[in-house]
Amino acid sequence: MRTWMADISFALRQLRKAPGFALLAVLTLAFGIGANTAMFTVLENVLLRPLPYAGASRLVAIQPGPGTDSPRATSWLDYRDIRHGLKNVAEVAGYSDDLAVVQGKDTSTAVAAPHVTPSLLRMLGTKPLLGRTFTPQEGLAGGPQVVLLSEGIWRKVFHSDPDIVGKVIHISSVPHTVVGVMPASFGFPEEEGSSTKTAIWLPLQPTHAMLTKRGYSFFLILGKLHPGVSMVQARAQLHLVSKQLADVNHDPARDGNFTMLSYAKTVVGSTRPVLMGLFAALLLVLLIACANVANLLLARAIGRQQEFAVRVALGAGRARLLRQVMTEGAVLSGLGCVAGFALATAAIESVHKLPPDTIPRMSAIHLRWTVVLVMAAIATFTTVLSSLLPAVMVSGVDPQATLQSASRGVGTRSVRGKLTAWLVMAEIALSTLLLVSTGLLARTMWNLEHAWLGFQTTRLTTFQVTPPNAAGFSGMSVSSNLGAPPTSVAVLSYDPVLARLREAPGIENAAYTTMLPLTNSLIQSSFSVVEHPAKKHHEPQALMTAVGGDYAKLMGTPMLRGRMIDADDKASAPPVAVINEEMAKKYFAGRNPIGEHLDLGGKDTGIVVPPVIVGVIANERTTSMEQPAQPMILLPGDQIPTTSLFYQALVDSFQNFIVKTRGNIPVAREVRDVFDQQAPGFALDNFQTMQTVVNQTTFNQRLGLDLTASFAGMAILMVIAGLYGVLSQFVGFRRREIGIRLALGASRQQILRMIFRQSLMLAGYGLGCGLVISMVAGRLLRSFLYGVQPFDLPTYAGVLGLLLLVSVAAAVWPAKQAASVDPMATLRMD
Amino acid sequence: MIHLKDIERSYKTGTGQAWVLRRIQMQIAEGEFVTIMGPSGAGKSSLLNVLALLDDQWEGEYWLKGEPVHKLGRKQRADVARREIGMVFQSYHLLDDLTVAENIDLPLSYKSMPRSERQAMVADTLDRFNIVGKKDLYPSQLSGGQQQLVGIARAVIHKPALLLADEPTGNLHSGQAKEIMELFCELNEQGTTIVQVTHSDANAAFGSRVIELRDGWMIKDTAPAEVTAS
Repeated sequence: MRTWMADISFALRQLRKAPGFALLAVLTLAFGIGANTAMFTVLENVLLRPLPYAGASRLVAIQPGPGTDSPRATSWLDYRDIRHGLKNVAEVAGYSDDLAVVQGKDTSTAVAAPHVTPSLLRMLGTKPLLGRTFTPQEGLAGGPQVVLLSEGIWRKVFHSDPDIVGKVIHISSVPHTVVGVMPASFGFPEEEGSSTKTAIWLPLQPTHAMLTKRGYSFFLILGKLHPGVSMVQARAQLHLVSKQLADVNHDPARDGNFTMLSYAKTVVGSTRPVLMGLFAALLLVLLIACANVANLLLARAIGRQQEFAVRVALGAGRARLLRQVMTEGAVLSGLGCVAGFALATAAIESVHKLPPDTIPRMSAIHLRWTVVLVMAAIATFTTVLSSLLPAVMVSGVDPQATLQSASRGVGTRSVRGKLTAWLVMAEIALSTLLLVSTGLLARTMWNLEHAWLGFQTTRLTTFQVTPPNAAGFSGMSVSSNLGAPPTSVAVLSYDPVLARLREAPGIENAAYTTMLPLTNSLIQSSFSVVEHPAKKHHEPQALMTAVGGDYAKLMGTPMLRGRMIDADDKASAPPVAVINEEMAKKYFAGRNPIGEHLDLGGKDTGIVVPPVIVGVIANERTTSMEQPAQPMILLPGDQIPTTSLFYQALVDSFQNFIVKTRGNIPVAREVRDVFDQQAPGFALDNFQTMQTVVNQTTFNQRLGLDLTASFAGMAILMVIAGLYGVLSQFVGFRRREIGIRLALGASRQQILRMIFRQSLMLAGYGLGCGLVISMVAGRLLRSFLYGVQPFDLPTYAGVLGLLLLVSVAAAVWPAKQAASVDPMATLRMD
Repeated sequence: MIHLKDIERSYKTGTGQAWVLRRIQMQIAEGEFVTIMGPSGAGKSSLLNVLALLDDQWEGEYWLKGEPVHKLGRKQRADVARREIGMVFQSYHLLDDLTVAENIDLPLSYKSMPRSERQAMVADTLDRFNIVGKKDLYPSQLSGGQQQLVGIARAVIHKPALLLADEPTGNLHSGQAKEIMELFCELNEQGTTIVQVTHSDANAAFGSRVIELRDGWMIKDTAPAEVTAS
């Protein structure tokens, strides 16, 4: 124990004597360790930590079609049949995403309002903060109107009323009794992200449409496997069940192909490869940091050869020397760990400052004891990696040769000289990989930011509007009421609001659309062209949106044929539709779609009169910059019958308004004033510019690029430090040789050229290896790239040029030092 | 060949200046074999540094083959040294990472000379010194005497007019030392002017003239009077 303490004390004394070296080594390690700890914290919380539900590892998502990372909806009827058919799944429950308006005393707030089967809350096992969850009776058709509040909405709108349970509140103008309050830690469905913090939960009470229409797909299925049942077994049984479904329903179009995957996987979605990619990049940085520190320690060890020779001469064994050097490395790693922990904490704090839902499960990201263990493992890894080489070197010192001979320096061809060179070449190779990745992501970013959108964003502000009695998607049905149909909210409220908005100060024009480009509010429906009907059960699908106002002109999206929906397309006028370019290309190839009619379901959906196509609008990016445009049908909001399914889905649940302002000015106050006068009680939120909407779709790529670029920047700094250190060492090792060369006639320019040549050689070898590794690894990056190939010549050329420049820059000072060697002094003539 | 007039060299110390060479007057004719002797700190190596043009902080006049070195700039002096002077060191100062042939080639590599010509000269020198069989060995694989032999070969490959040797046998045993000194005699007979620094009277006996230094002053010169006259 005493010798350990002596080693540690000696190590600290050594570091105090060389503060520059200590600072460089500790900072290098701190960054490598800290960054990896922070990244692992994110990975651990997002990917590895189970969801906060009972038996979370057994939760599975069951969805139609091939497995994807995003949940896919099916029908209530499919859910019922799967629930009855699956035996090795302990429970099967369902839910649908929806939204509603919570009416408080002073305000109306649009909130996420998932509808859930009572069995789902039981399956998740979370105890409410107050009250209870839903009973089975409350999940039946026609059951009582009850609601569960989130802790967030309970505090925000109801001021943490302790007597809220049992009270009646209005949800979308319908009275509901509060049965309970769920704690802040409950965030189901997880894929909704931070919106569940202020959500409400409603019992899913199947409507007539749900009970009769298998094509009514708004339902998501969640199951929980029996303990001991594997996913493979469960999937096998699901396959049988879904095959039976297809047979029973005589629906050859439905291949009955349901899949099962871990629910946690659907929560993380496409974030997993991004996080793993960033972690891999940081591991590279850690390796570079270790190589740097190993070089520094190696140089110090060589400089202390006399000391170790004396120790051996005085009786120190090889193991003892090894332990001493490893202890010194461990002290450095320990200090690096402490500094790294501080860095990691700061990094985690900055993660929480990112926009909400940038990373799934973001609010749960915290440093935990498991991460501290991992950090200790990383520290051990760095200690071994950076100290082992120097330790092995010095433990093999020959005391006689070292003590008796004059120092002849270490040549570049010696093992030690080669080791330092290999280490710095490895650093350069790894940095090349990081730089190539950064370059490719930068090109991707540039391509995304300059990609054609299909619309313009200048001076456009958008906001979401939710009617006070928003029907939501879960309660959709075709009205069977034989009386006069109610007036559409589009006629009653949206049209007057549009007219007033156009007169409001600062606002030039206004329109609305259900489906705002580049957001994920997608509604699809099957359709058929009346003049060329599709086979039954083989109807194609298209995105659906209702529009009002001069949408095309506002968005700057050109009309390719015919005309856009306009103010004359009122409820009393013949129903019309506009289709987009993609739909015209796909389903009307070779003919003019203008004048043809679209069958949108007839009595099944409540659109009895097929609208006539009056125009073709150019494509807009619908979901993301990378995805091509999908077929789309635009319907006038005024013309969608209030008795139809489409009315609830496209008009009455929510609407996206867009206003063109006269300058870059905020208009939220003016908008709210207009709504207060024309449409009181409507919930308005999510005010943002269209440019912000566009930026948000590329936010992840930009974040990934910023992070990778900063890692690459750090790596470059470490390469410069490493290359400078190695070259300075070489100059030091070769001082005598340089003196001899000068004495034998070498000019100082020749000495300068010698050092620069050495630097370029090291860089060249490292670059060569790095470029080969990058070409191999480039395939892994393919899915992150847009408009650029993994083997992009300009990127590789840029990286080559940058690293050559770096190697020249790193060599300047050592070359100057070499050229100013005094041959007389080095040859020790007196 | 060499004419030194009022050569002085000093170093700044904390309190003032330390003189290592004081008013050295010296003439060395072509073909002479001169030994510089004196106790430790006498200024022998300092004088050798001046002669080798490695030191340029001295004062006075230095003429080498009629050329006023004291009037030349640093680059010009380096050119003169490269052309006219060869040096042999006590510690051999061979480069450990270069083979024998590469060490010998080193001075030639700093001249603008075709590679084939250099290779021919190296081959001749290896043959002349009977070390052809060792051309691919590294210094660490040679004995001390063999290393010094290579050092001498390197010093004379470019046929310098002046060969300077600083304690050339200091690290050798007597047998090897004798061989080296005999080689110097042979080179001197072939026309090379040699100036050696040594503590050894035995080595001094191989030369034809002894210059003695003490505390930076030249106190003795066994040269004939017409040579020492300024």
